[in-house]
Amino acid sequence: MSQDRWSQVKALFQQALERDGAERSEFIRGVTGDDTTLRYELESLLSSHDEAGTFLSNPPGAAAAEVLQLDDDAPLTGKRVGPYRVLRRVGRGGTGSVYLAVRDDEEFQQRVALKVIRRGMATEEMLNRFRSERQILASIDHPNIARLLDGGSTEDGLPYFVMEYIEGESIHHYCDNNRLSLKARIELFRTVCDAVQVAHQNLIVHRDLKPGNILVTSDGKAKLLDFGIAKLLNPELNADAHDPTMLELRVMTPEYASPEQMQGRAVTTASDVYSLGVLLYELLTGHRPYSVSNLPLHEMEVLVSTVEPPLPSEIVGQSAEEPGRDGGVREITPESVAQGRQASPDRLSRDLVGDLDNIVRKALRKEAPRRYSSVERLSDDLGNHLEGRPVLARPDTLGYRASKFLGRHRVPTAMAATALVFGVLLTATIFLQSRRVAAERDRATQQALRAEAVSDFLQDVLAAADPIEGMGRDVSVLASVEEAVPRIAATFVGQPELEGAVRHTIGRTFGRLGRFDEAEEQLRLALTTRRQLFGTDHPDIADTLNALGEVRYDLGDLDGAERLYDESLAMRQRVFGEPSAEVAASLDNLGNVYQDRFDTAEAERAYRGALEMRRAVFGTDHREIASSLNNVATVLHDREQLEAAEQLYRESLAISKNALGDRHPEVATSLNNLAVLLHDEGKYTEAEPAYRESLDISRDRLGDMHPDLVVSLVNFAMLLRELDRNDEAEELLLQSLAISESTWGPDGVPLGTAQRNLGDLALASGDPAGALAWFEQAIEIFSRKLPTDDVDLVFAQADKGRALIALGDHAAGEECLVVAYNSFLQSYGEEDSDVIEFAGWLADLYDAWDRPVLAASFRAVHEGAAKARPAELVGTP
Amino acid sequence: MTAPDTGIDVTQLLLAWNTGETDARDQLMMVVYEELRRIAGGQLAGEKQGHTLQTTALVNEAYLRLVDQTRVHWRNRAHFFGIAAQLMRRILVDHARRRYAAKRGGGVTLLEFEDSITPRSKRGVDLVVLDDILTRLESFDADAARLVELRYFGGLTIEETAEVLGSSPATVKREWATARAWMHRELTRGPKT
Repeated sequence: MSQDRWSQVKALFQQALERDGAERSEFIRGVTGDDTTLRYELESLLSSHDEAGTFLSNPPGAAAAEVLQLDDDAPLTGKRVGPYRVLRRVGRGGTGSVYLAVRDDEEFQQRVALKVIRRGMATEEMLNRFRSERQILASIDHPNIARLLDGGSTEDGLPYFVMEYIEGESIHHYCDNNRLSLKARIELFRTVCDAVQVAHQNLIVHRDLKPGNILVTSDGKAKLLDFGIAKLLNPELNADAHDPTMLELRVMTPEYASPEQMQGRAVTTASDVYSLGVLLYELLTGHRPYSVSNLPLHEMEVLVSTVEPPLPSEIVGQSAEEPGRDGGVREITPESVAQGRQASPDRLSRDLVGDLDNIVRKALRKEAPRRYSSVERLSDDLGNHLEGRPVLARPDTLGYRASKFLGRHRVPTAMAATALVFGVLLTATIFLQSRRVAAERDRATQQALRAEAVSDFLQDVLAAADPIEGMGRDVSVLASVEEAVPRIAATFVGQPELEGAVRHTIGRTFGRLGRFDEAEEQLRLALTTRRQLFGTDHPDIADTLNALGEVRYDLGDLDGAERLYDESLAMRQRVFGEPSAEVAASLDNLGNVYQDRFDTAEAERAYRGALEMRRAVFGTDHREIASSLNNVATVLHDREQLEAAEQLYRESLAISKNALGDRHPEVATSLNNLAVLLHDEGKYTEAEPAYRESLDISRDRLGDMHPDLVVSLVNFAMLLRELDRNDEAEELLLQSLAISESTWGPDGVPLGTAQRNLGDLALASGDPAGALAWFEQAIEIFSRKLPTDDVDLVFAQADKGRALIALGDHAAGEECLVVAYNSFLQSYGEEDSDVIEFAGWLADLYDAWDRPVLAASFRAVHEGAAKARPAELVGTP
Repeated sequence: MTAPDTGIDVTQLLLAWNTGETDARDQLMMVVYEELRRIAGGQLAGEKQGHTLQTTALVNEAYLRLVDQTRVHWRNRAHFFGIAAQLMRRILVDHARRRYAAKRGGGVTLLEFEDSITPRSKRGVDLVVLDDILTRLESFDADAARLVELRYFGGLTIEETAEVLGSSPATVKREWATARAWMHRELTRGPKT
């Protein structure tokens, strides 16, 4: 019957029903007219209605109940499925039942586990899920994962597959029944980690890790089972071709479910790390981190998402009751737990305190990215613990500090690094700082959450290099970031947004560390990822364009930087409109480019544009305004409009203090800038307290060893040197040296810069031998890390020459100075101020060495008579 | 509210289904099936037994057990009961088909049952034929077929059905009368297409 026809019949039928007897007959005659088919339809339906009686009025509830029970109680037992004879049912999973079976057409009767999809469940989706599990098992071959042996269809077409039959008990019962010590438990647990890690490498997330899915055989081997709700991360392998970014459903056992699973958010490998953390907790302590089984789900969710579980070392001192398997109640006491681990309660608690507490807590972090970045890392850290090496996991307070370090202070840190790598010796390297801070902060605000996720990933990587947390490990930030790069792709499979964010951040970190090739590579990858994800216009794309611009800027490619900044600016104008914080940040960066081109008019225009925009967005009294005022001040500072600049710096400082409090690190930056200006104005007595206050705040808020201190330390040392207070200056420079070494490592360029600064001071203090030693150390670092024509290396060589000359070694000094002179001459031409300065030093040398002709020639270069330059010297050593 | 064995939150599944989750449906079926089986098996310690099944429809009970009523919209309820009723239909019809197959001796059957689960007089209607007819009704009036599923296989009353479908009892009553009349007519005509 057609739908239209049926609609007509139905409407008429219902109208007819409202009428009785003759009225009904008349109605039917009236509406059907000549249409006898229609009349027959209506009349037959009406009589059927009258005859129907109790038809369909007794729902088959009881019958259904019986059938349901039968369905359950009438398994395949005793039947043959393919070449297998089914012995008994051993379990029921989500999609099917598992039977113990034997292959009985062989002499050797192999016992196997046979999984068949449940009859009532054979919908298309279920079949897909079932096939997906089979496919997952087929793709993994690992001694700790039950192997797939065979597969096929039953005679009535239901798919089945055959796995290795694991005879064993669940892992926690095995551990308890055998009274395994903590160490033995950890070793066993690590084999489970291996299995899960292999699954992850095959892009499979298990999603249902719990003791019942991990059996241990009588010979002590753990076997991972039941990938029934596992998820393939690679969509190409996924038979359902589900969108990998789609929200996951909560399908697992709540006691082992991660907060993101409880909340129905995306499930990743980090969710398995969490579940393993719960399992580890249970194996170590005999307790579960939360007792959630009797709570309504939303309360469970709140509990797991917000409340920290007791530390393992604490919980083992407590008693609890849990439902036993026999339906009764089982009591867990400190004594029973300790006894099951062959220890005394005190001993057990002591063994758990520290490393194991920290490791468990790191695995159980509520924010997925703050957990171990992989199962392998978790396992490695347990290995570290067993072998007495320091572990990555740290107590919460320190972790918090580290996170702060990388989050909020990452930016100024990077400023210091950039300044040190590119800054000219002992010159005020301050301006960049607060200009960039503003741009950074916009990003941070905009992406606070994701930035945290990313920095947590990096925190894990950088922990080893952190002077506070790293326990003296000899690993630099750079090495750590380099190590992180190859892991990005695997860690963030199926999460292009996070991958883009991590590459973006790592790219920026490389940039700050002066590794511009790597920086560009990562940022370009981030850009590609983000463009694929977001299309043409998107805030994140604009961010990456801006970051690429910063790299070009740091490389001194002002045109390239300007193009990228322009592109980013235009996109932000489209995305955010004006006035907006983001557009203001772009204007600031363009201002930096103009300022470096000495186009102070354009720079001032850009900075003031940003300032006006921020006033419109933030009002008058906001840290962003302080930052903008500072930028405008730097232009005036450059133009030597010192008084006007001083006024703006002071205004900026006042706003900073007002908005952030007197002791905020940004106030320290403002004070530093003001101090440099006062220094330039010759107001030494005012500059000194400003430097001191700045340093005092920084030390107080960031600690003595914070990289942010370096710039102020060096600037202040320069002032002290001018005041002939060289001992005090040296003390400050030694502090900057210690910070540089611990932050950037013994091979880091910043350490070389600090050594060079100390050498320069030693030379000025009349200690050429000391100076020579510093310069040689600096050159050793620079020549390993920098190209031969790098500015820092060339300067250090010239410095070494000066030290040698001061020591009376004219020949060696000449060699160094000439190398430096030639290098700059080729790179920058004869009118370069440094070439001219080197020429002066050479002239002094030849005077002292009694070589008047050469002396005169270089003197002429030095005094601007470039044409008299002794061309024949070029190219000689 | 969580299914006791599986830990699956049915309410969440319903909400997820509402937002277009493709996975939600088969997981729902899984959980509802499990719960229906538990209720049928009277495995719930300390629960009223036996007569429960005659007075309260299985699916109603499953719903009360599985779904947090404070969190769901009527459309979610419709999804739930739709799923449950469909599941009941499949289970019953499947079972009936297998009994047929067993009697005909056609091929090896996977499962065998006693021939007298329910006395024939009480069963009242041949489920296999009924299923065929319902499938035909579905082809031109899917709403009516759903209503029959809810009322008959799901065991819902007129009022409950109306609530689940977001409709009025009067409308449901009319539609039900129509569908029932049509099905009865087709049944008494014999299973032809």
